[in-house]
Amino acid sequence: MNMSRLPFESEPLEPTHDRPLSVSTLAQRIKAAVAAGLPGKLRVVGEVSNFSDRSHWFFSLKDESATLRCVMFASAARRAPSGIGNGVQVVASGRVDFYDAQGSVQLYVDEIAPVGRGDLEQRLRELMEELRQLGYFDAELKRALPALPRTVAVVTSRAAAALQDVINTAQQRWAGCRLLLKDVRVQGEAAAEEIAHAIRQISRHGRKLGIDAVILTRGGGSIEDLWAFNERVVADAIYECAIPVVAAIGHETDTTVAELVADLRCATPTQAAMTLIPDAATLHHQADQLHERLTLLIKRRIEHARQRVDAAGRSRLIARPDQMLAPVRERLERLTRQLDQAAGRRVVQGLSRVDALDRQLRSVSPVSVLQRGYSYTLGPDGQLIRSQTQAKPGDRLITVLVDGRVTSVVDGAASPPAPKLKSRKPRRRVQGQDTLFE
Amino acid sequence: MTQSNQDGPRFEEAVDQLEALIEKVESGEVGLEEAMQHYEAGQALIKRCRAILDAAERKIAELTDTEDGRLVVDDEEDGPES
Repeated sequence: MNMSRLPFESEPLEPTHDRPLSVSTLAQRIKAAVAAGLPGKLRVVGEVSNFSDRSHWFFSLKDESATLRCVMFASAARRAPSGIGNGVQVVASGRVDFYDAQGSVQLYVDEIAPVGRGDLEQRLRELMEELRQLGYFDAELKRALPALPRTVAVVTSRAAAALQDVINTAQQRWAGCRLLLKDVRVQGEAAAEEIAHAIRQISRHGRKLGIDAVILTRGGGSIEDLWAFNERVVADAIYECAIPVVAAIGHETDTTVAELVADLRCATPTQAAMTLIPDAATLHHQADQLHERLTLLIKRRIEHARQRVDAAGRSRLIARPDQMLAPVRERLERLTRQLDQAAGRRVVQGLSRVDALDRQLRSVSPVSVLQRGYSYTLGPDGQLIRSQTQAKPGDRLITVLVDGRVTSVVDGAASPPAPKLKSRKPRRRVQGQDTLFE
Repeated sequence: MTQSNQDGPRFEEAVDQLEALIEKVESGEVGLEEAMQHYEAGQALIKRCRAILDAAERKIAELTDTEDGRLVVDDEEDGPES
């Protein structure tokens, strides 16, 4: 037997300096003190947190300033009403004992019953209602997410698994997306203010840095762990943020104020990254389709244009211009023929008229008179001798006959003409040559 | 730093322009020469889209607050930026 096994009664109530207590002894003393100082069965009211429900339930009950560890064994837990969980305000009945193996005072709960919602949930509900009325959750105020965000700010803790999920997803979907981490605490007292500050800073300076969207994320945890995301200051920062915010806080079943105010709520960090960052392969496919559409379109346009040109080429005007010209040509030929005919008639008429005139002319020609045996005489000056007075002795006269000329010399004076002849000649001269040649 | 705006339109703008010119050509309002010009422009836009999609950024950089209250990208973390 060692000292720790000494009977309780034999130990002094106050520890002595010269004789230290063993841990077991002290544990036993505490156990006894707890048993002696507290009623065997008691009821305690508090808020459930750190709730874990395997076969046995382990959780804490807490209020503003204190926390108490609780155990509810499977046999009792099976009888518990539904709805017990984190944040629920409960009345637990049981006994308090010191669990020496863990060195902790615990409440062994036999019965448990909710007393309405826990304080935190109550506050959350009130805040949500207030923000709802202020329009913080209005769907029409949600900003559209960019189709292809070039740069995304990730507001989370550097150590969070959520960050790695976002990075991996982004890399898988589109490596061209640039991620900028804004490291913040995601739980604890300072977290809400840090998160709000980060979002305000991104809202103010983000556009200059090319930030197209924000992912606000955190992994799962108790309602206390996630509480920063239920604070008004975070809600305000998200509401006022000039850049779209996608939020994925806690597990899918948790709903935080931050997620409701955000432009899009996603179940997990991975889903947030998937929603925000498009799949490059899909976009490549879309680009291919646009390319095909454009190419097909332009081909069709060219084909259409070609058909029009072909159609125009087949038109009679272009393809058989001779056909178009034939009627014109026929008409021209007809007119030509008509013209020829008309002209021919005129020529014939003209010729016959010329013939008539020729005959007429011949009938009055001096040649025809000479043929009939007449002649005429020209004086030395080549003038026609019409009177004896024109011929003086010694003049050389030329007599023109039908077959030639005879030259003669006047050898005597002119005899006075016979009166009859004299009287007729001048009359004839007055009337002109016509009478001579008739 | 972001280089997206240096060599051409952003992806969304490129796709918007592309769709707009396709609609224009589809509507039949433009003549053949103009349609061909649109086609050339469309090819360039598609090339631009593909270039954006094929880009690869470093894994992650960090945003930090400066003492004078600005927000800057801390580029000390190195990584491949091809």
